[in-house]
Amino acid sequence: MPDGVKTGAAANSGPVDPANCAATPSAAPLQRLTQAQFTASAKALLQLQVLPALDLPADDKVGPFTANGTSPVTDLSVNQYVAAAEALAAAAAPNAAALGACPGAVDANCVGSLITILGEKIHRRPLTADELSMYTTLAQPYLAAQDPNGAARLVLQALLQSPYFLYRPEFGDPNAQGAVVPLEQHALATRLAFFLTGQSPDDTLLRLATAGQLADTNSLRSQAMRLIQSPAFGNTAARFVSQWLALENLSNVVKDANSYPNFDPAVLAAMQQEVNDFTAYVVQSDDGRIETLLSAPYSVLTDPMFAAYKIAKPTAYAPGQPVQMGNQRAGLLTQAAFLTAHAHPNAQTPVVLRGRVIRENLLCQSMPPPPANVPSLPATRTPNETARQIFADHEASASCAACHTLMDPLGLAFEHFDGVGAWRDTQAGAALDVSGQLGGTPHSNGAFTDAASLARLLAQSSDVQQCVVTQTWRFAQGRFETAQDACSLAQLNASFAQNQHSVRELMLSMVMSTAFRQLATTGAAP
Amino acid sequence: MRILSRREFLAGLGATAALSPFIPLLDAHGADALFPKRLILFFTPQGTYQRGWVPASVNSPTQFTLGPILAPLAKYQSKINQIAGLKMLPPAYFVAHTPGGVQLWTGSQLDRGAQNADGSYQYGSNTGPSVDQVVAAQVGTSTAYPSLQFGARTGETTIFGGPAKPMYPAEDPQAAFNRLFGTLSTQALSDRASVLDVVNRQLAGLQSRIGAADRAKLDAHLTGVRDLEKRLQSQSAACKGPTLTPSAQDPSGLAAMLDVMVAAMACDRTRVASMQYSQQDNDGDSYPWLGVAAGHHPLTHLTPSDTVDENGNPVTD
Repeated sequence: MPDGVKTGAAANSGPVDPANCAATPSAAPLQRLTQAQFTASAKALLQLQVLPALDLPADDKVGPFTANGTSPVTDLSVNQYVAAAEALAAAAAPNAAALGACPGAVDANCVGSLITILGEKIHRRPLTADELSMYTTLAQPYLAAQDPNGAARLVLQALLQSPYFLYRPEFGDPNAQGAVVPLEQHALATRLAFFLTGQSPDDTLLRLATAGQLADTNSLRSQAMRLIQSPAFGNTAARFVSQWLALENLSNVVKDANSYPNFDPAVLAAMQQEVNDFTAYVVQSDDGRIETLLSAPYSVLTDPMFAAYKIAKPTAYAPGQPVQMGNQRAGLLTQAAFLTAHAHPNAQTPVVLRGRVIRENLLCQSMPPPPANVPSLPATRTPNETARQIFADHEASASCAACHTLMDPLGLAFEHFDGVGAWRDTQAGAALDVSGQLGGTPHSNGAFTDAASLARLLAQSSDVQQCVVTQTWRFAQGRFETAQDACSLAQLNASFAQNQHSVRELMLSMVMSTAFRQLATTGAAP
Repeated sequence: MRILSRREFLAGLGATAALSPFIPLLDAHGADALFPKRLILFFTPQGTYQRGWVPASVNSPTQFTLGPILAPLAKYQSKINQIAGLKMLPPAYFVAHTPGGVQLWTGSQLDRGAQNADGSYQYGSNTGPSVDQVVAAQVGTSTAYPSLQFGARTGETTIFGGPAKPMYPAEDPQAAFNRLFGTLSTQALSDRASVLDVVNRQLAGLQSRIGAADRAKLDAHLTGVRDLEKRLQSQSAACKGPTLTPSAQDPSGLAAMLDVMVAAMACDRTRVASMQYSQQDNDGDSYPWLGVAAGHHPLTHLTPSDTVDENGNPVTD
């Protein structure tokens, strides 16, 4: 194994025996909604088909995932929230009668029911008497001026700026005492909904929480399974996969028209659609296994992708159904989105970009920083060399080799795919050798013959499986794991293995885990 | 250009009267009220074309010929210093990739982030504020905004209000225009104020119920709300702001955002600003409308003496 490479096994399941450890929750920071959570929630809560343009605060990251549990808002963020709430209130106000379940036009009574009904949904729990009175007082001047529509708009404006909407405050069961207590049920419903659906809890979850029925694990499990079957879970799984594989810049990608004349925004959108539809299909209609995500022989395509892949669209093709991709491709890593996001704007070889993301995001390994004095490229480089010829220089240089022997062999496996994911038989007029060795891993070293074969190797890798558990944890909890979470992670790893590495089952196990359902009370927080 | 030694630079810091051209910021208090001194930090993490940026020839620290990029500023040359060759000390522990952006304007060492399973660490946070925020705390109280952060295509920041307090830039030129130059009707102003009052009371109520670690987050929110309330009372229609014209040659909105930033300065909405274009990692950015096929990031990996790119294709000016 090259010097400087951090490997190591398994601190997250290391010495901890999942059968004989006690999982306890560790301190969970106050989370503020991410851009995606804010927009998805606003759209659902306000029943808007189309959202107005929103300029929302930038998100923090936990590894590759967006989450706002760390940094405080700034002056700019507060201004952005005000502007967003005003734009949303203006868009939703014409529909206030429906949002308040009013029998007729908007009047003073209707504004009252809007406060009660929508207030509960936006606060994610019934309003307190104080809050009811606060919103009612706010509406008074407009009602006194015979302008109930203005009153409704102002109430919407305030609800959408409430800290109980923008943040997810979590409290323990008020009847429980101790350092670790069950989550209060509305907080549990909120955690559950944001994790599995990426948005505020729906009416069913709120009703069950108010009735105290989510403490029952059977009831919680059946609610989780209900959400897992909903379209929103497909979106959540797709967002997990997209962030995990570092595809978030895909929508900004620009390509050089001479290198890629057929590339345009419609193809770009279709690539992301493929990742979304394929992921949703695997986790909702197929076995949900990580092996399937990483090496399925099929994908789910829209018209631009049939053209991009040069695959004939089957007659009577039903949108959303799987299409066989042939033996050149297998799973997410050979889909155009991954190959395009991890490539250059022109034909420059993207070997390092692809190799690095596999090491870091799929294997949870860290690349050392580049050495201090990276030498210039040789000025006598022959034009039109293959990537393998160019990258041979890396192995010849000791300072380059430390990192590049980890990244290059993996990246070279994808050389049959150009910067927009199209297949090429040759590069620079030469036949391609895309075989290689996966090395430098604790448990997954092995030989591969091409990208599809590497994808299958990674799909079976216990290092990747463990990395998926760690990444899912970060995605679900919005924070990094700590030593205190070792038992929770060990138990999740064990349950992932028992469930044939189904990501769907992993997410269900996460919901049912102690760490998810319980709260370390303030006194116990570090 | 002569290289200033660390000793000479520090001596300059101690002798502001004699060497103030090197450190104009330290003199900000003495600024003329009619033409206040201002600070703008500009950061292009993908780098700048060295053969256009570095002075064409250098005789002494005050006698040099500006490179083509700065040539339009030639008549202000006596007020310009170009500094190069500064190095950032790497963190004392292992982090993935470059931590430079966090250190750039803060000059602070990184705090350790979370430890990975393999013993490495996630990006740590900064341990001090960025220099613009230190300046803003001194000179920012007389303007509507102590400082403003602008960006295009970043999704990250190099500006910090203090340890682990990132200040992300505004990225939407139209929204920034509306905030800085938009005017509200009397009714809209009073609506906004009464809503902020409700928000204020909810924040204060929530703050009393949550743990100490999270209280600082709500403190920051409360401060933002109060600053906005104050600003509502000082709305000024005197400054109209720039006319924004979206352009296919400005897909990131950088040019429009620069217009907003310049107008914010000209209107004295703030005296301290920062601008960042694109992010530190390879984001695939390129400029096809300039006839440049290669991405900005891989071009940055070349040194000024490279004549071919990684694929052996010639690099031309």
